[in-house]
Amino acid sequence: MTKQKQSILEKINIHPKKLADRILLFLVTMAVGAPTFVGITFFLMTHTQISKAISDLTTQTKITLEAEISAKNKELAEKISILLNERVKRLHSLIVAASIIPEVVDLNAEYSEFLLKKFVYQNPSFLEISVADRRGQEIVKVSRDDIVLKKDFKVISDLAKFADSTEAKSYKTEVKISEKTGLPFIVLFQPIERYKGRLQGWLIVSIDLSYLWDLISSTSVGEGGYTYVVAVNGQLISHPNKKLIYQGKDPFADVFKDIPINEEGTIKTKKYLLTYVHTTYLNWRVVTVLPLEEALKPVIATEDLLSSYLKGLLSKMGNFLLLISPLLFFIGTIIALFLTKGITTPILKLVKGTQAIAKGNFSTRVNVKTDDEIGVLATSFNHMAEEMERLVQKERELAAAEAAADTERARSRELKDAYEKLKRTQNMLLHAEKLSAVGQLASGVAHEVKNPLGIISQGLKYIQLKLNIKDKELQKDFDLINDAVKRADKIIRGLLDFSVPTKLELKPADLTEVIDASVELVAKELSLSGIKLKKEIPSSLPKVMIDHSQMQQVFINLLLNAVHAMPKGGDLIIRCYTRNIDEFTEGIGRRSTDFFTVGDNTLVCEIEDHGHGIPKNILPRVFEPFFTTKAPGKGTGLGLPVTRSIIDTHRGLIDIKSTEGKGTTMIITLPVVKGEKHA
Amino acid sequence: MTYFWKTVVHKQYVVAIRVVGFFFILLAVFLSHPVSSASAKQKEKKIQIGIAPWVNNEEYNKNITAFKKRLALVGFVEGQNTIYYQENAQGDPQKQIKIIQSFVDKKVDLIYSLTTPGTLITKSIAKDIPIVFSVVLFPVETGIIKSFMSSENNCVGTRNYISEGKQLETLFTIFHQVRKMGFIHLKEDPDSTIQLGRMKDMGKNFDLEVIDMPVSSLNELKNFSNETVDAFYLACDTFIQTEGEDSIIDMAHNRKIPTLSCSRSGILKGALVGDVVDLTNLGTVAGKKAAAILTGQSPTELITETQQGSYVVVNLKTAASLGLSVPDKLLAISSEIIQ
Repeated sequence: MTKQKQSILEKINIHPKKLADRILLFLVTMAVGAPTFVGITFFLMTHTQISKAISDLTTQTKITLEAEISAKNKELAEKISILLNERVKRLHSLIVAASIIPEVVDLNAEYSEFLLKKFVYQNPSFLEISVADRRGQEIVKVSRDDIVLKKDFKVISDLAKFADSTEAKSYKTEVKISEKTGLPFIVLFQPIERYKGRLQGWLIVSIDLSYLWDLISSTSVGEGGYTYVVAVNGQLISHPNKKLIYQGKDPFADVFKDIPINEEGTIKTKKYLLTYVHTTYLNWRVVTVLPLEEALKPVIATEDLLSSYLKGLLSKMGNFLLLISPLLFFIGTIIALFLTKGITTPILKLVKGTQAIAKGNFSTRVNVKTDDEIGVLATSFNHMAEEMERLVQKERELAAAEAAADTERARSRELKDAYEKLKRTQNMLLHAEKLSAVGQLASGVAHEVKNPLGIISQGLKYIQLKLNIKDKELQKDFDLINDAVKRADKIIRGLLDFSVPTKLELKPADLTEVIDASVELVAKELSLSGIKLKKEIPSSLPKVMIDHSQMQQVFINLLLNAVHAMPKGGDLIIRCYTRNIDEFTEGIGRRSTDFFTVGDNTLVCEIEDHGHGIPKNILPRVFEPFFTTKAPGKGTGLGLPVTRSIIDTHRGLIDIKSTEGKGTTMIITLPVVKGEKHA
Repeated sequence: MTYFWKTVVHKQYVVAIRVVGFFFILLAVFLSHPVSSASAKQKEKKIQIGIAPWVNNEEYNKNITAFKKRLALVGFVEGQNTIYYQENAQGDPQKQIKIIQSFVDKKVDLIYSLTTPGTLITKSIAKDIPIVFSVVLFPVETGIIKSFMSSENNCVGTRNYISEGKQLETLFTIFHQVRKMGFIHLKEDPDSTIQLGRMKDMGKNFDLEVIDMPVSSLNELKNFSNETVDAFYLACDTFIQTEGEDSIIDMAHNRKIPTLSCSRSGILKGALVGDVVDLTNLGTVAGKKAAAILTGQSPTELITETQQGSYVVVNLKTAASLGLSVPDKLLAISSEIIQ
């Protein structure tokens, strides 16, 4: 698959459900929105309609109730009006009665005074009564609240015009406010007549109208309503607020401005329902005042009740709407999901089909069996896939044939390789066998040669001692023989060491001591070659089970090898450390021949030189006996094999790493005495 | 079906589910929350009325009884919906201050205060509580109210005033020979001081000399024992109406001179005559005013009333002991005759 193909597929995969989302959202919106819209519209329409109905109903009821209350209040006002008329008429009749008492008719001042006093004292509604002669001159005057002195007698000039009249009639003044008491009063003028209508004088009576207050206030108009009485001149006679009486203001003067005093009716102001009647005799107006709020209390209460019912009903409807809309949402969502699934599933199948084909699965077929556009698309897709599969199949067959030929060739090559490998192995085995035989042979030879060599050596020493050799030539020959013997001995020893390992004397020892002792022995060589020795050894190392002298030989061998590798000097590093084996490598495992396994504690010692290194091709052979790179006669080719043999007997490992031109590192791995811990 | 869930769990639907969840919570709150009705049940409050009579006097007690009776008539019944706190200061201003303060602390709905000195203190302390007063002679002159028609403050009430002329007239009806009348009153009493002045003026109309006899204790009465007067007048102040009355009447008896009394109790005790105020009626009228206030009217909307008409009381025993005959004219207009 190419990169381009992959990116196209990724693009396809970004929003595989975008279309589904849109359709779903649209359907859900329709499912919830449409009924909600209808519901709200219905809700609002119902609200308006019912509100209007309630309003109409209450308005009608209000009108009826107002009429009813007006009638009732009018009845009340009329009752008060009648009572007021009667009360004042009764007082008048008393005065008429007084006017015909003979002593009064005779204008007998002393007796009249006593009589009138009695009148006044017993009738507190009489503020003042006086008797005047026919010209209006007061001759007797009695006051309810104070004594009247003669100097206070007045002439009522208005009466003078009746002096000779035969038609003097009783009359009363307009309502006034008394300067003394601040209370409303009227003055009644009652003519005193002798027989045949001859005017004798006048009874002048001031009537305190406050005595009517109790009568008026005793009739209550609802709870917040009241009755007030006003005279034709606008002077208040009775009102709950007495201050208004004193000020003489009719609180509804504006309302009654254009209404004649003798009219009756009902007026509705903003706040009050006013019912008024006319008091015929007194020519007053009795007005009942009822706050509309109170008057219409039952209607308002009903209206409130209906409104609250409506509110409750509508809130229930609202609740239902609230309840139904999530339901609609859910139902709508489910239906919409199925609908969208019907559209998007085939599309997604097609997408998956194309993806599969893009990935190379040409056998893919899309299972869409609808008869709509998507169905047609799916059918043509399947056709395309079929065609592609056929083509691809053909191509594959060709490729397969070619591949079969290739396999044949490869197999023959493999066989050849295996044969060669086998042959090499056989050679190696043969070589190893040979080596083993050589080793045993060498061992035998060495034993046999060792003793004669010892005799030769001893003989040479003896001969030298006996013959005091002064001849330089001879001495040189001796030395040559001696050297040759020594070398032979050395070879013999090496052979013996290699083939017949001496018995080990293993003791737990500190490797540092071994290293130090070895270094001391090669110190001269090191200094001669100008080699700097660096020891990277921790102060305490775990003890290892070693044969001291054998291990010393190992180190000497390795150090000397290093010295030989660095004829021009350089750094020689001895590095020791503990290592916990954590991986399987050469010589480490569970085989019986393996000395170590994972988890063992080991002490590792590295000897690193910076010499010429070992060429890669000879590196595998360095542990072979008699293999040497040194000049003939210089090396025995037994150093490293012996070293390895010693390490083997210690159940340790020796390894070599070398890079030509850079240097060589010998790595010795020894088991740590059990119980010894890491440094 | 996995497609379904994948779709449902898709981001946009998570939002949609949250919205629906919110709707459900809203709905739950809406349904579980009952419609709170604003019908705060009004606790039926008892009406509290403080009564301060200032001094202990039988007539005052009758006045208070009438006051309560009138209130009961319109529905303020003692022990049912009305509580009365009545405390007598015994004429001690300090005590009165404490009493009125206690009324204020109790937040009484109304204070009924008797007498001028008592009411002056009441008014000075209870500035926001309606005060109905009674047995006050000159409420305007002493500054308790602005005018009878409108107090322009929290006070309104009834006054025990009878014109000086009418009072003197009753005395003169029986006893014409009076030329000098001793006006016995409490020294510096605001009402009596005003009344004395008015009585002096009125006396001129009767050719009567009114002699000022101020006292502050019973002992001081002796100062006037040798004063040559034809009659005594018992003023309406609280000293005369309580302690002074009996002693003065005794003194008058001893000196065989008539006594004109300002109050009914004085005549009952032996004073000759008086045009007095019916304190019981005054209490009833005061009760009417209190009722109006308790049903929502303001004291400024009400008037301060004086007794209308006369209440003449005459003691025939005293007249007999003085050798005086009571004319029929007086008997005819008398409201009460003591025999």
